[in-house]
Amino acid sequence: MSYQFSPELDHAKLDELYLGDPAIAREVFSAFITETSPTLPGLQAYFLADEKDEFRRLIHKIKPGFLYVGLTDIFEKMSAVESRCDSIESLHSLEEEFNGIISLLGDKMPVVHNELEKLKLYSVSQPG
Amino acid sequence: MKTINIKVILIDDDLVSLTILENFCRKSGRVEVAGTFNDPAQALDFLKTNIIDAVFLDVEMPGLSGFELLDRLTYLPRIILTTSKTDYAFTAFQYEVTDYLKKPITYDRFIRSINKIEETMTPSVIPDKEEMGGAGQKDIFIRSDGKLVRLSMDDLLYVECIGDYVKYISADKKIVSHATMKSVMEKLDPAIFLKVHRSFIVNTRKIKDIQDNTLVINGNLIPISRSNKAEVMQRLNIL
Repeated sequence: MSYQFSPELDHAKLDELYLGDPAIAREVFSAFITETSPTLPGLQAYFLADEKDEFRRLIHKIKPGFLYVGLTDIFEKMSAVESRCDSIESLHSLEEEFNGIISLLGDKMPVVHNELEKLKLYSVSQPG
Repeated sequence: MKTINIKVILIDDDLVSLTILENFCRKSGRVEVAGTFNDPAQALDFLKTNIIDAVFLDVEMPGLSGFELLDRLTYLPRIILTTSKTDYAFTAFQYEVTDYLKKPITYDRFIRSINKIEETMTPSVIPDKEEMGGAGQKDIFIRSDGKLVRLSMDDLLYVECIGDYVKYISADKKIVSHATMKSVMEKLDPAIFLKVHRSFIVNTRKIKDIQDNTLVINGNLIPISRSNKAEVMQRLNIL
């Protein structure tokens, strides 16, 4: 039976990306949790300190990772925030959008962690 | 024929993007990853001392953008730009990149890029006599002024394309014929002749010297395009 991604993630996109190869999905989810998760407090810190350039740089760096773990909605919101950075004086004018991202991260990051555990279990359950 | 093994490096400041590309390279069985870099400056240092076939290159990176990195290269390998934006398409076109991949990159789309790279590579095997049409193929006949003129491949120094015409230059002859670069390239021995510019094919055995992006054959200066420089350097026996 083929691997089924969680419906809480963009499973259509994940199926397209990892079709028939959950081993690659496992490596990518693992890299996301190792590399991207630890940067999120920094993102919040830059926002609160109104360090626009650093905030924009970090958003740009990490946002593609969300596409590879099925968090397309967060990627799109991050892209919109990144674009708006070019036309604003202060990050405070992005408070509503950024709070929306933080709220989504709070909901979805546990789903990503669970998905990695599911992928690990799937890999050990497969013969060979 | 030997399978072409494409030697690449991957440059992206996002480790997740590097991870998926590295896995796709491994899965394809056609690509050797010579290095992965999340710091473009380190990649630039690597490229100064290593010749590779292609670079998967992120555009927006801190310190040095993908395009700035390209400006600093002394030769231009095949470039596959990887980005989550489409804003750079025009600039990418100006840099004559081989392909432009929008993230998230699927395996199918990745393989299409690999195919594009392979199409631009000269097979690393010398065709045997049968593939070359057997003995006697060391000469070519060029249709010019209503007659067929014999020219030995050994004597041919280089070929220059001017519009719809092609000029064959040997030490003692200049023959002009109606042809395309592509059709000429198909007739010449790929082990000896190499396209170095969109308008020039040269006999690599006749190159006297090379400086920067120019080579000299029989006193004639011939430009090497950025996109062909990597292959030129690979074909030379550099000590």
